[in-house]
Amino acid sequence: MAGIPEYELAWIGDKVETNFNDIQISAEDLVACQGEIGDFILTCNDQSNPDKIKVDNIIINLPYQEEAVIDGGVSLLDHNYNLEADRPAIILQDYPDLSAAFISREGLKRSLEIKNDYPDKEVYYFYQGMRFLEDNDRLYEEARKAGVVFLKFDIGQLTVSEDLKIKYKREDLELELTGTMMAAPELKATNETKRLAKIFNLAEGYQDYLQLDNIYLQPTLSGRRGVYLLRGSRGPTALTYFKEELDFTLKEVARNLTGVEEIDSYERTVDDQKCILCYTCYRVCPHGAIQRDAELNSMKVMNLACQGCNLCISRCPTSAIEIDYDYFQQKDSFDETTLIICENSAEIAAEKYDSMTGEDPLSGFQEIVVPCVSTVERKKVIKLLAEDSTDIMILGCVAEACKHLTGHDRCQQVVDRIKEDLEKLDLNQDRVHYKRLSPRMAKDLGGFLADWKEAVIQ
Amino acid sequence: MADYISKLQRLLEEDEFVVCSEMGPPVGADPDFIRKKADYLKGYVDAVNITDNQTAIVRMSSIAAAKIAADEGLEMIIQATGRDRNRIGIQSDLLGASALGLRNVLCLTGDHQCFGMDEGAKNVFDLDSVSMLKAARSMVDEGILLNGKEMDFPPKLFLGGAANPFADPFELHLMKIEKKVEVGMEFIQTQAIYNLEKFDRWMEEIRRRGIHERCHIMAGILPTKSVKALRMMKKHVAGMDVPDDIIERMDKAEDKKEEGVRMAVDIIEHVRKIEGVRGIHLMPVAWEEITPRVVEEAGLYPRPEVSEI
Amino acid sequence: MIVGKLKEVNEIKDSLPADLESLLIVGCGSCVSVSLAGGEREAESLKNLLDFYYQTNNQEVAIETETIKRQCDDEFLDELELAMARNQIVLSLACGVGVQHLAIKYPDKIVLPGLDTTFYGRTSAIGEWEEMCHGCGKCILDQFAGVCPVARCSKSLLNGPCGGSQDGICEVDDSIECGWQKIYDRAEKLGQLESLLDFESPKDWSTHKDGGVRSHKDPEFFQE
Repeated sequence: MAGIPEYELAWIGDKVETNFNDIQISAEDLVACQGEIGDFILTCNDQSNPDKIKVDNIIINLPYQEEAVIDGGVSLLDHNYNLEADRPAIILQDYPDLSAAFISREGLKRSLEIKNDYPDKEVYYFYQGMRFLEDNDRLYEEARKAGVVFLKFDIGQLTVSEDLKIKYKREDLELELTGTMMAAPELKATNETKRLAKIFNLAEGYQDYLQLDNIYLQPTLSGRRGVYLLRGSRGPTALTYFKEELDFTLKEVARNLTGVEEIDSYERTVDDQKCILCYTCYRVCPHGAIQRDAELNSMKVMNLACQGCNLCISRCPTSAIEIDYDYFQQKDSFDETTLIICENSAEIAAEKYDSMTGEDPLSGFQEIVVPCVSTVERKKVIKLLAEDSTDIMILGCVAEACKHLTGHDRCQQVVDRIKEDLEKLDLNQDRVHYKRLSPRMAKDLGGFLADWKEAVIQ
Repeated sequence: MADYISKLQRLLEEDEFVVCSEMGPPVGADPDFIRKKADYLKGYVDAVNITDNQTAIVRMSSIAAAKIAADEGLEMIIQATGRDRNRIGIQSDLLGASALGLRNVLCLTGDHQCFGMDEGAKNVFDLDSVSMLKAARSMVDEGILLNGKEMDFPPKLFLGGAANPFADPFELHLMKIEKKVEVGMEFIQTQAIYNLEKFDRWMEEIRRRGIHERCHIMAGILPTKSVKALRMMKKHVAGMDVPDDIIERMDKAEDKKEEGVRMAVDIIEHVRKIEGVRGIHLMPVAWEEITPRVVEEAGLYPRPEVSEI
Repeated sequence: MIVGKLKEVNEIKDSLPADLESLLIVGCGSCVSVSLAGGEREAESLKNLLDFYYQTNNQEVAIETETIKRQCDDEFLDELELAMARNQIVLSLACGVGVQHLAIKYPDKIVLPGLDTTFYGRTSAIGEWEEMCHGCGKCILDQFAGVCPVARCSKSLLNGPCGGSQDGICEVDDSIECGWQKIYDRAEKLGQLESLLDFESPKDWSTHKDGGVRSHKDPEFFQE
């Protein structure tokens, strides 16, 4: 696209000062995002930003939504506060549920601040769990020495009445208090989440945040390459490690600018004669790597965004998406049991086992290594069952380890469907197996395969 | 003197507090089944509903059963539902009913066939309850059929419909009642009442809209002696409101039968005092024989004599 | 679009003659593919499954598949000529329209349906479709705030709701939303509640199939 402004980085939300050629766009003004890492085209709806922009990287950096946990009182995060004269200050965290980790630090700092300014004022601090991150332990000691009264209320009963009276009751103590109430708010995902998920074609994560709860994902990565998440778009832990996460993200951006490579050497193309624009591939792709090609009137796979899971190929109803490689050709013998293994869990676990014990747990099996078990297509498994007389074992990842977020579930559906259809035709459905494991389960893998080899293979 | 179409209409127009009851026809062709039921109701009720394949269960047709009961001297209210017949069938039935001397009809949309045992049946719903009332109104008042054809001898029918004070949301269902009154519904029988507070509020709204002055409202009463039945109604019957304290009351009672009668009488006494309620409609499911006792203990016996219309 | 669901594989298998020697499976690349049912992927999976079945039961059956863009237009069916010449029994994965058009075009072949055609629907979510239209022949959507009482009310009431509508749910099943609740809510939002109070006359069903099996000629191609 000639003539549109180009940037190295776009901040959706709050901008942080960097040395990059970057631009800030507010979430409400963003209308659409096309393209892939190194070549995103953003469409904006605002005077202060041009209509279309080309950017290499995107960081979504939005504040949390704060929701008051009690009516009245002041938010603990609000630095403008007035203390009522002749009345105690009451700091409340973890009410009704545990607050985000960084709240403890805010609360401790606040309690010390009050004691500094008004040494004679009574300060009560109600909490369920104190988080001793950074140097919170030092602050805690100081606060106690200064006379702040700490009361843990996960034991006992704490009630806050409508007129902000606190009643605290436990076996050895009963207390009633009114004073300046400073309560930690509940933190929720930025209220732009749903809209942004749609614009960036990202799956929504836990508690409405934009990142799925997944140990594979480094803190600020979204499913889509080149799109990063901070603070209210990511999750409450982001507040604790904000500086570290920001540094990590900016390093990623810098590295991306030196060049990004395709995930594998295979070509995935969409046959525009077969594609019916049902948008199924677009909706299922965990990496936002599929887009509609305006000129051809079919979908197309963006090679830099693609992470190679083959979920789109598995889901396409017209078999329009093709890859120039057949994973199943890795099987060259029909005497040994087929083991379809995911390179992100089983393959790693097998290597670990080998280095631990000197034994290759996969020997005696026909290995088919796939980038994700979502690569496994129903029609291919059935064909294999017909051609071969041995069993087929598929080893995928547990949810927390699935690099492709939904691939492990997709395979479960494929296997369930195969078994159902086999049962309906009175065919043996016990020759297909699916197990999930993590890359760390080397011993389990070794033991399990050895047992199975004995039982099944003879 | 006004020209009344039916005894029921006369009683309502002359401000009598009316007592109606209900009869379910047999799953079979025995006319004595009806006659036996008619026998113990005689003298205790002003009019009796005869259901029409209720909950989509095949039973003797409403009109046939009503004629048998009418021959025993009872004032009958037939029911017509839109589920099983199209506009041709329904108009035909109404003409036949009038010819047989059956003068009161309750026009209902009808329960979906999935509630019965013929879930694979094709349903009709050519006319909904509103269209049915309008069609009947035109037949009675103007002597014309839906298609505009004039009849030599128009039917004589007193038209009613059902209403549920406990269906939510409020406004959506009230819209329907307004429409029915607008097209000419003359009396309403409500769903069984247990939640008196909610019924009071509904009646307030009815009065605010002036519906009680354009239509005779009869309060539905379902005497029961079974905690199980109450629980079942609470949980599984859509649009029924059975408060927990009613269930508790029945649960704690030693003599469930007595408690059932007492509860029904209490409800009757309450609704009788409400402005706009012109009668009761007793629906003692699986306990029809208790009707005479309830009527007596509610102080509603004997019923007024009405000469032939 | 037309929505359908693949038949259970045992039902398909039972409909095939016992002495089957060869079979042509024809997939359809339009509506049924969009509803993820009878496209090329399903056709190929089905072929592999039936191959496996017959092989296990020691029956030699030659199965081939062809998927064409649509089965409701002649020119696409022409692409099947050679494959059709090789087979007597054909299993079509198209909707009821396609199956019959195939049968009309190839009157000497036994054409069997592999799909249960269900309704005219929209895609409400990935993998989910909802019934929207009944093809009644006289669209009245302008009178009901854009929600069709014929297709989206289980009883097709024009003066709804029925007494079984409770908290926006249909009496037939908890999973069905009351169409009349939707009509009411939309009308309220759009300020059209007044007109809902007007009585709606019974529908003229003669424009629907009740008036006889229908066909339609565009006057630009047919002059009287």
